This record gives sequence, structure tokens and C-alpha cells, in this order.
Amino acid sequence: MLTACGGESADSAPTQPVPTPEPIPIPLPSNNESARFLNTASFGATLNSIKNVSNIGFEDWLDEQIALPASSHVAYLQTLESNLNLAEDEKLHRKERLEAWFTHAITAPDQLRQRVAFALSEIFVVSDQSTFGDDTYGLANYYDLLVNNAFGNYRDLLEQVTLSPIMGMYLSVLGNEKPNEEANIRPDENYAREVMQLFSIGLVELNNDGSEKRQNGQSIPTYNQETIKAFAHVYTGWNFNSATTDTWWQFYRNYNTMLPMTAVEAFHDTSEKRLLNNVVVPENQTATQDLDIALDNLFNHPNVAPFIGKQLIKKLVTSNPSPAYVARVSTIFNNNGQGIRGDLGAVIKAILLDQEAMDGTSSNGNFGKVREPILRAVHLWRAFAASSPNDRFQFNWPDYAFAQAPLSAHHVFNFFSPDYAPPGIVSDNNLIAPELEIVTENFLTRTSNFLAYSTFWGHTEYEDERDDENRILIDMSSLKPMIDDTDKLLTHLNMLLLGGTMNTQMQEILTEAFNKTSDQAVNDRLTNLLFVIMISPQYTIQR
Amino acid sequence: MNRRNFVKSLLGSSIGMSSAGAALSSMTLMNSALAQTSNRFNDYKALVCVFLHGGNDSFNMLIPSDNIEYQSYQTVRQNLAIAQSDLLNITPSSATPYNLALPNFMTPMQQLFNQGNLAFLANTGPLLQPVTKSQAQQYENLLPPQLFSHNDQQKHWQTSWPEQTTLTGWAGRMADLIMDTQNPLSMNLSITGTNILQTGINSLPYSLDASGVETFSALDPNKSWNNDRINVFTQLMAAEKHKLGQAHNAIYNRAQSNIDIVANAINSVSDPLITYPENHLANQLKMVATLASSQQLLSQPRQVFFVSMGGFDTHDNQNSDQPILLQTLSDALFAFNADLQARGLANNITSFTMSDFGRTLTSNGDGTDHGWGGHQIIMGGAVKGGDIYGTMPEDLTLNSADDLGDGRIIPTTSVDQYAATLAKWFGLSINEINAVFPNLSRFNTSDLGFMMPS
Repeated sequence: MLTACGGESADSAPTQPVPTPEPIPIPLPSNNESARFLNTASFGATLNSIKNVSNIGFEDWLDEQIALPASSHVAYLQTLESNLNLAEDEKLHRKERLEAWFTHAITAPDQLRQRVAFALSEIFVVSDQSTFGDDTYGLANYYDLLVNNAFGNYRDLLEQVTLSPIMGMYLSVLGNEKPNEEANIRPDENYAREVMQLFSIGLVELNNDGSEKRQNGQSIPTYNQETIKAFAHVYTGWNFNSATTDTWWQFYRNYNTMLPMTAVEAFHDTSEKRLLNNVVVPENQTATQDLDIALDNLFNHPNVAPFIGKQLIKKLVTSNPSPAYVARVSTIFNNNGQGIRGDLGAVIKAILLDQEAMDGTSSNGNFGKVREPILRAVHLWRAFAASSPNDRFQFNWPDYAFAQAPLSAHHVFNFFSPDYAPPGIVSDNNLIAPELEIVTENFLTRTSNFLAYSTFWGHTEYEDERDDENRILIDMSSLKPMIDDTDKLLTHLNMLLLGGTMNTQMQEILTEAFNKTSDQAVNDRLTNLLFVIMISPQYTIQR
Repeated sequence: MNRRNFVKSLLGSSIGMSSAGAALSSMTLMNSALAQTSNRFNDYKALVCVFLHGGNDSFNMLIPSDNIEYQSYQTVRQNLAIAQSDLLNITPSSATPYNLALPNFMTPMQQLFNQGNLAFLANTGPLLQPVTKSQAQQYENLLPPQLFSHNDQQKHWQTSWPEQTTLTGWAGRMADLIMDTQNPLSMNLSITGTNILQTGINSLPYSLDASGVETFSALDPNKSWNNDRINVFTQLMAAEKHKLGQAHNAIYNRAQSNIDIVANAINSVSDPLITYPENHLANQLKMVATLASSQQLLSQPRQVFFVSMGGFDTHDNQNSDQPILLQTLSDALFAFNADLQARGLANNITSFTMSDFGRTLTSNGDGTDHGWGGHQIIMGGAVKGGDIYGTMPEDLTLNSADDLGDGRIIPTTSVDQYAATLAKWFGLSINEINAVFPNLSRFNTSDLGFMMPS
């Protein structure tokens, strides 16, 4: 580039224009590779999405997905509500919010965005297991916040989460007031603590590769009680949008979960506060000025990249990433290549396109993760063009079947800890398997039973169930032409469900079993095969 | 670290502490642990851990009732103080620094306390060793790691061993030592999902829920038409090389080998004669009573149950939420006690609460923040009830010798002592107790005296 002004490059020799190198052609992925990629980048591969990725390649598909407009859960509920012609005293409830979620997971075109939002909802946790549990629109609005910011900047996401009235109620920023020494009132420490422990930097100092820094063999805490107190003072003075000094105490009058919280300066503490790394918030600032400094302070902490990056890797790709993989993702978090820190779109691309994600056979045979139970059902429905007699995806009891439901964890620590290691073969090998924390004996049984229900008794030709107008039903018609060609059928299912990871031994076991059923009805043969694949450990571990 | 190394390190910790004689007895302990059979116990005992998730504000559970001390309480708690007119007096058999009362939403607890079926343990919490205020302020390494953090403090309560590198809970380690290795069903039964308390080196909890045990549909081995399918599934499991997949297989195998025996046992038990209140904790305790009643069918002379209740993290709305929480807890425990009495099991079963931490005495306006020490409830026929154990804080004024700051009260009794007292009643030998609680020797007594001698 020619420098036109200022003479800044007076010292540099005149440069020849560098010829643009010929791009190295990247071979398009095979269908198996596309399917395997889609199991990390969407709610599960479908025939169409496989075709699409195989046609344009991983990176273009990701760019296309990132550019797609966000599908809104609130908008879905609004349309639903107007279609339902609810009576004056009726309103939408949790089951409709779950319907919005299942509909998006199964059918939304912006699959990558929706899948990342689901991962974010398990990091930036709020839950309907709380006082605002029946605020259907408020919760959907919070979910939309995650959807909208999935590829935005982490700093914006952090600010919008912090100012969300749903989060404000969940972790007590809403209504948090400045100290009153006379009445022994101190600012609430709830959000101050959890935003650091869970949403940004974690408990101990990390290297870029996610490993813990050590000092004399000990890990180094990132903050102490004094830090928490300081942040607690920062997060004072926020209430529902448009609340005022006069209405501060009028919860129901102010209640508004569709707009971000706003500040009421009379309740904000204006003292000086000392934050992380000795950053000082000067006295006599507004709530917004304080918040800007505090969120920048968190955002610029070197832990954020490995702490958030590693969690996203675990949620999408593999429970036990190599330190080098984490470091590569952290590097992109810290600088997307254009000098921007916190570019989540770039981070997601770095996670999904990393060599370790592409080449899953490395990492000592430990690559992969336990599929979240709820996502096994969603993938089944996506893979086999789910429909329902009333054209709605209504499934009201995911918690019963899977021990999880969107925005419904029992506490801010999510359904499962990102570091859970079940005793036995996993912890003996210094591995983790976070999702297994909710796979108890009882819930493994229920999930298996749910998959039986959704295959044997959950397909479009299962007549008795057709009466149930909100059953979600799979369509096996695409499989029927292959019924007499076991190899072809298994090759197809291997692609669609396992992304080509089925090994010879599994193929032989299934071939022998399937061929033995040739005297049975077609639907019985197919549902049996699907069920056995869906509950197999080979499918349960996404790899 | 693998299991074998882990057993060694467990024993190694007692070797480090004392002489070669202790090392020898540790080895004997290991050998005896590996040779457990069901005939070690000829009686039945069970422990029921009631975990109060979030950190119960127990300084509103045991409240000074005399004017002077009530005044200090009222001054520090301000708008969160329970009104003096709403207090239920209790009269512990031992002297306390001041008279104490329960809030009026815990009437059933007052009744059980007066009947001698319930005791309180005062100001207990995670500790690395006894610590004074000035020590705690001066030396951060004397404080439990990540003090005031929910999950870390829950972990400390459940492991009683913050320094360990592999996570095992104290009930899990007890099971490693005393449980019948011939029985496929774990001594540790969780009615509320995965937990650290019941996770051992060789033993894992078996998990069911308040409604009982889910039985397999398409994988039900009792239906002959499932045989081919189960056979294929079994082959696929055997072919699985991935360690995470093998871990998943292990859960399936535990489910499959225990479902029938547990389901049959549950079905064999008659309905309770008393009515439980309608709440989740009561439902869980009802299932505990059912499983305890069928312990002979289950061949379990010892059982540890884990149940839980959430919502105690009262940062907000404490004045409206806490009465409901403690009322719910009281009603559920009261019904459970009545059921166990009706079933003739009250003397065999000891229930005890644990909770992340106590809470700040100061207010954040409408709630409280994470504290440290707190009071716990112990209930059962084998409890020396009607008394308060441990040490009540001398006074509840801010910046007292017990206050680390903002009314975070420094515990005077450790989790280790609390759990060890229960373990002793449960039938563990002194050697076994020392192996399960490696930090116990740092405290002055390993038996707090709230259990009747076995």
C-alpha cells in the first residue's frame, strides 16, 4: 500500500507490490466429512445441509451462516399468540417457550447461530426455575439476546447480559442499592461473584492454552472478597427500564423484561472502587460510567480467552481439547487478525475449523464429547424430517426425559459442570465428560426410553399415535428404497447420524443383525435399526 | 491418577501424619477393606443427608431470644430480623451463652426438639484447621480454598478433604471401606442425581428419583421380544473403544443390573400411614423411607441417602422466601420422622443437614450474601436430641471476634468433626474414620457427642 500522508514511512525502502499468491485450492469435503462437521456446527446433520456443505465447503458455509439474519424466539411466540386467538385472561407459558426452542432447533435456517446460542445459554445461565419462571416473553427475550450476540463481540454480549432485567432478577443486580452503613446494608454480591466465576474469568489465573498458572505449585486466585465487594458497589443503581427515584421500590409498576435495565443514580454508589489488576474506578461517576470501566476490566483480563474459548470448544466439539487447540482459539479471541478482541464469530470459526476438530482421529482416541441428551432427540428429528399433525413441535417435558431443558437449570452452575469427571475410566485417565453429570442410571434409562418412543412409536406411519396431534414424528420414507441393500442403508445412516465414524466392527454387527430381520415388516426393521444406532455408545459420543 | 494409586494416596496421608505403627494399621485397614462381606453388620443403620443448596441463612434459624442479645441480633440484621414476638423458645439441656429460639415457621422442629428427636449443631463450616479471626485475616492459606464460592464450598462439605486431587466424597470413601462388595447395588443411594458426597474410589452412588426407578422399555430384558435388540446393543457396547463411551456403558450396566431389584423392593413396601406434605423434598424423603423399609430385600445393612432442596441462596426477597423454605424443610422432616417412627425405623436412621455456608449477618437491602459458618439440624431416634452442640458465637454484633467481616461468622466446628461423629455412629472403626477424614486430627475432638453410643 502507498503511504500518502505524514511521511511516516520515510525510513522504509520503496516497496514492490507483493503479488497475491494463488489461493491453494481446498478440496471440498465429502458427505461424511460434511455431516461430521455439521454435528458440531448445527443441531445435527440433515440431507440438505450435508449437500450444502459438500457443495461450498466448511468455511463458506460458516460465512453464509454467520451472515444469515437471526431467527427470533420472541417473534415466534408473538406469531403463535396471534394465531391462537387467546382469550383475554390467557397467556403463553413455558410449554410455548419450549415449542419456540424446539422449532428453532429443528428447523431454523440459522442453525449455527441457534446452536451457539444454546451453548451460550449453558454458560450465561438464567433459569425459569425462579420467581420469573412464567415470564415467557422475558425468557425468550433473554434467549434472543444470546442468539443476536452469538457472532458479535463478547464485550457487547457481556454488557447486554449484565443489563438484562432477567439476569438482573436472577443474580440480583436489579434493585441493587448503594450501601447504607446505618442500616448495615451492603451492596449485593451475587452478580459480582458469579459474573467472574462463571461468565468471564473463572476462579484461577489461566495460561492462554487453558492450563492453570502456578506459583510455588499453587494455583493463583483471580480475585478475592475485596474484589467482589468493589464490583458489587459498581453494580448498584440498576432497575427495570425507565424506573425512577420515586418508583425504585415499585417492582410491579416498573416490571419490564423486554428492555434493558436503566440506571437510577440516586441508588448508585459513587465511591472509588478498586477492581482487578489495580484498575481504579474514580469516585463521583454515574452508574453507566462505572459499568463501562468494570466490564472493560473483565473483558481485558487475559483469562477471558481461554476461559470462554475452552468452554465453547467443550460445548461444541470435544470435552478434552489439547492445550494447543485451546491456545489457537484464545489467540483468535485476543485478536481476530484485524486487531479486534472478543470477536465471537471469529472464535466460533476458529473452533470449528481447527485442525483438531477436522481431524478427530488424533488426540489419543479421546477426541469427542458425550452428546447432550436433549440434542440426541433434536438430531433424530432433524435427520428424519420431523413433522407433527398440527405442524407444531410441542414437547413439554424435556426435563423428565433428559434432565435438561432450555433456560431451566436448577442453578447458575448449569445442568452439568464444564469440568465434571465421572469416577472410573474417565477420571482415571485424567479426562472429563461434563455431560455425564446428568446421565445418571435413571436418566440414561429415561433417555433410552424416549428414543424408543420417538422411533418405534414416533414415526409418520405409526397409526395409533396419529390421533395425538402434537406428537413429533419422524419420516422414514427416505430410507425405504434402501431396505434391500443393507450396505447402502448402513452407509447412508453412517453418514447421516455418525458423520462417517462407524467402524467396520459396528458395521458388521449391524449388518448381521439387520439381515436377520428380513422377514419382518419394513417399519419395524427400520425403527429397530434407528433405535439401536441412537442408543449406541458410538452415536452417544460425538466424535 | 488411577484407582490403585488413589487408594495408596488415601493410606499415604495417614502414613505422613504419624508413625510406622499407623502405617501398619493402615495396611491392615486396606486389606480388611478389600475383604468386606455383608456379615460385618448385624444391625441396620442409615444416614440421610439433606443438602440445602445455596447456603441456608441459619442465623435466622437459631435466634437469641433474651432482650439484650436479641437487640444485638436486631441491630445487625435490621430489616431481615425475625420479630421477637415471632420466636419459639427452646430449652437445650446444655448451657448456651444466651437463650435461643426458633422462628415461628419452624414449629415442627420445636416439637421434635422438645421431644428429644432433634438437635442443632452450632456454627459449623469448612475449615482447614481451627482458625482465629486474626489468623484468618493474616494468613490466606489458612482459609479453605475459594471460600464463599457455592460449588467449592459444597465440595468441601461433601468431600471433607479440600486438598485431594481426585474428587471423592466422605460417604463414598466410607462405602469403599465398609460396603459389601458382593452386592451390585451401591450402599450410597441418591434421590437427587449425581453428587460428590457419595462418590468413592471403587463405589459410586446409584441414582433414582423421588418417583422411584425408571424401568427400560425397549431394552427390558424380561420381555423375550427384546432379546435380539439387547443382544445387538450388548455387542455394540463391547465394541466401543472410546473411554467416554465406555463410561456411558458403565452407567447402562449399573442401571440394568439394579433396576429389577430396586423396583421390586420399592413395590414390596406398603404405603406410609402418615401423610407427607406436597413438596419435592417430602417426595424424596418418602422414597428414602421406602428404600429403608426394603433394606432387607436389598441386602443392605447400611445405606446412605442423598436428598436435596434448593432456593436457599437468598440474595433477594429473603423476608418472603426464607419462611417458606424453612417451613417446607420443617414440614418435610417432621413427616419423615413420623413415617420412620410408624415403620419402627426411627432409631436406625439419622438425618442431617448440610448447606454451602451460612450467610452474612448484614443485609444487602432485601437479602444476604455468602457467609461461612452456620447451624445444622440433626434428627433421629439415635440423636441425643433436645440440645445444641458445638459453640454458639459469643455475640452477633458486627466486628466481634467471630466476625471475619460483614457478619461472615468464622466456624468453630469443622465439617470433618460433624461428619466423623456421624461416621462413628454408622459403625466405622477409629482407623477407618481417620482414613476417611484425613484432616480430622487437626481438630480437638472427633466426636461432637450428639449421637447416642452404638
